[in-house]
This record gives sequence, structure tokens and C-alpha cells, in this order.
Amino acid sequence: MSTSDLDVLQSVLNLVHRPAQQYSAVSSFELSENAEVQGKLLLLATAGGDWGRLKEHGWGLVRLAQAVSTKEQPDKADSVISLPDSFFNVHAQFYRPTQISASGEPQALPETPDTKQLLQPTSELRLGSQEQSPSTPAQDTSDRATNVLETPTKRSAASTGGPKGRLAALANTEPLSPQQAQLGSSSGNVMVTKTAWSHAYTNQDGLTKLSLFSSAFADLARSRKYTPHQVLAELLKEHPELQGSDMKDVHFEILSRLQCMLAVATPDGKLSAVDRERISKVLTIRLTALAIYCECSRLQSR
Amino acid sequence: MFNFEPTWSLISKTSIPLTWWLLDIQHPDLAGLIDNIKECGEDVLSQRLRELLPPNTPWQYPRGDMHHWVPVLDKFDLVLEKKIKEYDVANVQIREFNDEDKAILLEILRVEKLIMDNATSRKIFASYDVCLFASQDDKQYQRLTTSSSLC
Repeated sequence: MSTSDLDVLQSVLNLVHRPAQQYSAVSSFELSENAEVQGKLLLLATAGGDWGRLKEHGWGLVRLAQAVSTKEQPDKADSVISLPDSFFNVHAQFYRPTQISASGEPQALPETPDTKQLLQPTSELRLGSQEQSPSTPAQDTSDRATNVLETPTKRSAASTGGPKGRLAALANTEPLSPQQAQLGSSSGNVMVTKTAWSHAYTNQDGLTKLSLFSSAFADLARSRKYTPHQVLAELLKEHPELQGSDMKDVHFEILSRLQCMLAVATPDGKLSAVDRERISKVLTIRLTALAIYCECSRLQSR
Repeated sequence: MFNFEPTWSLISKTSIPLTWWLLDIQHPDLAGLIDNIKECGEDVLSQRLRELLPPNTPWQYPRGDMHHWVPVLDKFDLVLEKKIKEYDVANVQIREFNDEDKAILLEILRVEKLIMDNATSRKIFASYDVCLFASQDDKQYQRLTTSSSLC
């Protein structure tokens, strides 16, 4: 289910869908009792709530399907999908599983970040005119100290464009709780990694929050240069917090959200034939995953 | 399970309609199809599958038992496993499937679904691990793969 190819993913789901409808076949597969598969199906069906947010922006399933099917009427109003930057808002928060050392004792999270590692700019994904100008280590350290560790009120007031503006937009959508702000107020409690378009920090409790800056990521999505898997690979490269085989659930969640957002992002809002095909594939995958999930839930409730 | 070798000439002479799968006997047509798929190489697999079981056409063979398909499914599992490793699907797949590999994958998945639709004892089908559980850790993956080959 982690493949980047939508056709292959669709075929896998078709294969699963068939026996999911049959009680006898499910007994050996135990699909209905497999939490990992169910979780993935749910993510494919909801994209972590992004399909719901798309509906809030006026693009429900029916309207989207209608827009995709109007091949003969390219000028039809519904075939133009215009979404504000605020839609391209990706957050993920997670706890890393505790690392057990060879001696059997849990290992503490690193308290002080490697400055050289933190200040690496995004290497491959360039954002054209929207890309931030390379900042000096001192500036970045300053940003980290002021933008990340400040309270939400201060961050909102500092929205004057540039990195600060983006961070302020981020704060508006998901403000830090007072407890988190307090944790962040003392140095050494928070580990931060940031790029031109993403930002992650881990607090003392081990909770990591990853955010993609809406405007920068919207530009990236509309540029059509990258697949969801390439974006995730870049995130993994830039944010060590995300790395590790025990983080695959988080990877899949991010991936399913990126899949949804990149599917509906178009450079000028107009849907080309390729756009229509991609959206219809993503919609089919979503509906098939939803059907399998519902059937599994029904079996589980027996 | 007791598995006897039938004398086909005797069976074909009887007027009693046989339910092949109940007797655990492979219908000759089905046996031929399975042998054909089993023996063809990976490079011609997608083309051969399309020829033997054309898309969008109804199933033209008698209903078989999933046990008979185990060698074919094992072969498919090996191919899928190879592609999963080759393209690093279990982690983050950066490289897109090339046309040839994609055709093989789509054909395998299509034929597996076709077999599921037209075979009994579906509950022994254990190839989901390759399709869905590729992201799990190696131990779990190996255990599931082993269980599928044991069926």
C-alpha cells in the first residue's frame, strides 16, 4: 500500500476488496483484526482529514467527481479548482517509540541539537521565487529562538512576511499550548530542524511536531515537479526525527495527506486531462479503501 | 489430504457430472493453464498472462481449488517480492516503476483477483502479506511469507 504508483495501488485494493466482501475469506486473512492495515485503509480514505477540509473549501466528493468527468467542457466553471494556500497545511505530531539501549535502559532524547545539522538549507526542493534567501547561522538561531520558542500571541504579531510570516501562519492554525510554550522557553528542551518549507521540533516529553509552511508548500504542490514520495523523501532527509523503520506509520500518514493535496493542486487551477485522470484515480482509491474499511468494521462488530 | 491420480479416460467416459474440486482433482484444462503459467519466464509473464487470461473476458475454465494454484501464487509472490525490494516500496518509493515492471505487477494483481473469484478454499490465500504487509519488519514479513508457502 506504500507504492507511489496509483494504478498498482488501485489493483492491490481491488484484490483486497474482493475477499473483504466474503466472510469465509476474511477469517484467514484476519484483515478485520489487523490494526495496521485498518489504519492504513482509514488514512487512504480520509487522508488524515484532508478530504474533509477539501469539502469545507467547496470540493466535496460529488463535485470533484463531476469536475473530473467534464471532459467535453473544459471551460466549465467546475473544472477550475482554486484552493487557498491555507488548504495546503500539513501537520503531523508523534512520539517516537522509546529507544532501548543495549543495557536495557531507555535512552534519553538528545537535548541539544547539532547546529550544523539544523541550519542546512533545503538541498533539492527549490521553491523558485518563494524560496527563502539563505540565512546566516546567527539568523537561523535567532529565528529558532524567537519564532519557535515564542508564545502563540507573539508569533501572530510577528507576521510581517518572510519566514516569520510563514511561522505566524503556522501558529494561527496550530498554536502551541501554554505548557508547550513553557517547555520551549528554557533552552535545551526543544530540538528544532527547519528547512525553507518545513519545520519540526521535539519537546522534552518527546512529542515531535512537524509542519509544512502553507504558502511555500502550496507553491511546491502547484509546481507539479514532485511526487508525494519525493516530498516525503526530502522531509526524511531534512528531519532526522522522522527517520527510522519504527516511524513507518507516520510516513504513511504524511504520504496519504500529500497524496490528497498534490492531486488537487494545479498551477493555474484549470484541470488538464492528466489532472482529471490523476484525481479520478485518487478518488477511486479513496472510495475502495473506504469500502474495505467499512466491511472490516462490520465484520469486527459481529 | 488423500490425493489420488485419476485415470482421465475413465472419468471422461462416465456420464456423471463431476464436481472436480470436491474430489480434489484438477481439471485437465485447468492443469494445463496452471502449468503454462508456472513454466513461463518473468520476462514474458505479463504477455503470457494476457494471452491465457485476457482482460475483460469471463472465466473460461472450470472452477478449481485454491490448493491447485499454490505453485502459481508462490511464483507471483516471488516476483512481487523482487519488485518490492528493487523499488524499495516497503520504505519510500522514489523511483517509479518502469513500463515493463508495472505491466507485470498489474497483470499479477489482476490474475490473482481472477483466481480469487474462481476458486474455492479462498481462505488459504496468503499473498496479502506481499501486497499489504511489505512495510512491516523483516521478521513478521518472513513469517507471513513462510506461512503462505506452506499452504
